Amino acid sequence: MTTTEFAKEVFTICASCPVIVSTTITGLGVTWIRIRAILVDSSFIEAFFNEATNKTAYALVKGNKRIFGADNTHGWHWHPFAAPDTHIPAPEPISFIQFLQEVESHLQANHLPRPQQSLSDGVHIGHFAYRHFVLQPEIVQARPAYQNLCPFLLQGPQILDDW
Amino acid sequence: MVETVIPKPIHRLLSELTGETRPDVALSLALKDLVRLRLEAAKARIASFEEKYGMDFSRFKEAWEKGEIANPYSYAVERDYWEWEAAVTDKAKLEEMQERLI
Repeated sequence: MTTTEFAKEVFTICASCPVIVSTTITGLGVTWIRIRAILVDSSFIEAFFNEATNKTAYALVKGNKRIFGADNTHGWHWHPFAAPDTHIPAPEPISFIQFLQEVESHLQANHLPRPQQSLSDGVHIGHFAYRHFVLQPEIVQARPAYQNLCPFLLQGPQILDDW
Repeated sequence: MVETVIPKPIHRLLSELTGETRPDVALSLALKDLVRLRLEAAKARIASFEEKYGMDFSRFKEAWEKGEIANPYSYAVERDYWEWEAAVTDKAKLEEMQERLI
């Protein structure tokens, strides 16, 4: 995988996830890239990839501290919410979408209420404090991983005003 | 050979930066400069990590694997590991690019 392919994957996934407000490249070399995705609760995900070594790392950062993470430094492992400075070996590589699923579950369990349902035009599905969020439902339907990540998007048009 | 059109303002800027009016030569000079500057940045980044830990990256990696680095799984140390390694891989790639440009 190249840094461009990594960036494309991260940006595509982030664009389809309602808990992410914005995504930007915060560092770029000729062999590596660092991407930051700001979440609705002002925490952020940092995704890092080095194409020369295949080093990949994801971190959920809040208040300058990593509260959850995953990376493949000497084998894939998780840095769990309960003890982020420890590591739990993972049996398989961890994809960005898997990491995001864990983050979204954590946000829903700890901070965010379930979205209210109401009708809209079917494309514009809601907005957050910072921006309008637009997503094509067929994108979600086409990717099973997206369905797991954003299950409520399959319930039909809705406005997520209270997120 | 790839043919492309350079907008006039860019051509003017290239000429001013390199002192060369021929666009192909100016582009080549600018590219060499860019590679050199990025190589300098990578070397400076490596030097700052070497100063911080008092060793080079290969020694740091070995020490990390042997458990000789304190808090190896903390975000601060892991992030340094990735960023330091990235500076090293960038340096290697940029040096290779520099050779191709000569």
